[in-house]
Amino acid sequence: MSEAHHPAHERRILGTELLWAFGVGVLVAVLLGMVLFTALTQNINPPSNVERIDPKNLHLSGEFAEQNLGTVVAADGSVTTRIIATQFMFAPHCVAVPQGRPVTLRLASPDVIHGILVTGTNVNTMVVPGFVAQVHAQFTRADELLMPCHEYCGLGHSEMWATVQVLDAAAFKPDAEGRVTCAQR
Amino acid sequence: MRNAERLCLAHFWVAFAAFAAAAVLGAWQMWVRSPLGAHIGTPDDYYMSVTAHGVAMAYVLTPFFIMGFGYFVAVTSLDRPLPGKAWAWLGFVVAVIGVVMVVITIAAGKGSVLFTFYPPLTASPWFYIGLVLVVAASWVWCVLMLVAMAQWKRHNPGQPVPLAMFATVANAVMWLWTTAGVAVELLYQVIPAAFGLIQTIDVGLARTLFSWTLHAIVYFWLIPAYIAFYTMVPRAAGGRLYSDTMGRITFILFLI
Repeated sequence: MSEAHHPAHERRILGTELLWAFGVGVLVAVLLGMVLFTALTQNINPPSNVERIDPKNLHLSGEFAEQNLGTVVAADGSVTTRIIATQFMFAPHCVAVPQGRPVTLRLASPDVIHGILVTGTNVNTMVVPGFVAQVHAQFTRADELLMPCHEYCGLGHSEMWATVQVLDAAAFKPDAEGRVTCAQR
Repeated sequence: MRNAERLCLAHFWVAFAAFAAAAVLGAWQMWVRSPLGAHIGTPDDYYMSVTAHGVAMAYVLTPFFIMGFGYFVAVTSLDRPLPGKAWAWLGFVVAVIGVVMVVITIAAGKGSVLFTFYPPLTASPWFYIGLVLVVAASWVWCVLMLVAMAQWKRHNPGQPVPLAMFATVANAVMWLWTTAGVAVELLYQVIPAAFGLIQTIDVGLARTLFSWTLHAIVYFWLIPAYIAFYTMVPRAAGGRLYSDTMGRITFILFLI
């Protein structure tokens, strides 16, 4: 019997194997725990809204018609910002959002895949034609944030970006219809 | 030079030629996106270059290197002649034809959709067909790996297949399963649309099918690196792998 097949050796090797398997198991559990922890405490989650919309006529009527784009404060005080992402611009080019209040961002594309992130925030989603992309966000600092397209959408992709203007309570003033547009600077 | 060695080397030459081209393109892209070269090049050049870079890395370097590596592992670890060498060469030729089609369409500016395709952006149908040929050729390799292992098992009943081949077959099975996504996307959605046979594409479905393949491309690459670390590095260091069982569990877990 060779040394490697001696029962005592076999037992020792098995012990080491089980120890490593246990260590790796703990590592996997810790990593999954970290994912869960950041998801629950820092809202780092993949956007999960599945809502279909016909890309061929979304601009003709309904919430993504031109007059309904931008930020609107509803009667109950909830804030919704609607944006169209299209080759190679965002409409509107600048959106105003309130500081320190929950905002629902809703985006749709009439042509190809686009994507957005808002610099310095956890807002990050694809905008897939055929679906409404929805993100819940709360902007903490009154600032002008850059919102570039971050999914390749054609040769003008790198020129496609918008601005998110985070306004404090004094500057965030809805008009008679509840609409808020970017302050001129 | 033996036929099997020529087969491995032919794959490696194509793989590293693609890598060299991609490396130059990558450096050029970094330069034109920096303030140094900001005035040079157009978006057309830039995205053509990004597409060529991604395609060279994901669809040329990756499958060609792994096919060559797999043939090498099959010959050296099983210590038997490779089965179906004519099929292997046929696969190589088909894959090279596919690469040539892809290179021509990209160079003509008709393939600038990046290696992730982004439908409903549409390239020349021959761009996609070239890629389908590369993927189909890689399936020939997958089947040959399975056949090589089966033949070895028939001649060595009751013995465990050498770890390097065990892991290579795990990689082949992983690739067969995960490339089904991109194949379905290209054959049933993107290519008919590129020929104008269908007018609309379900983009959500296309993204889902592509994501089935996308991350697996990384693992397709990673597993040969692990095979080298589990089997070649211990031998080169003058020792042997401490636990063959743990090695096998690793590759089974990868596959799962």
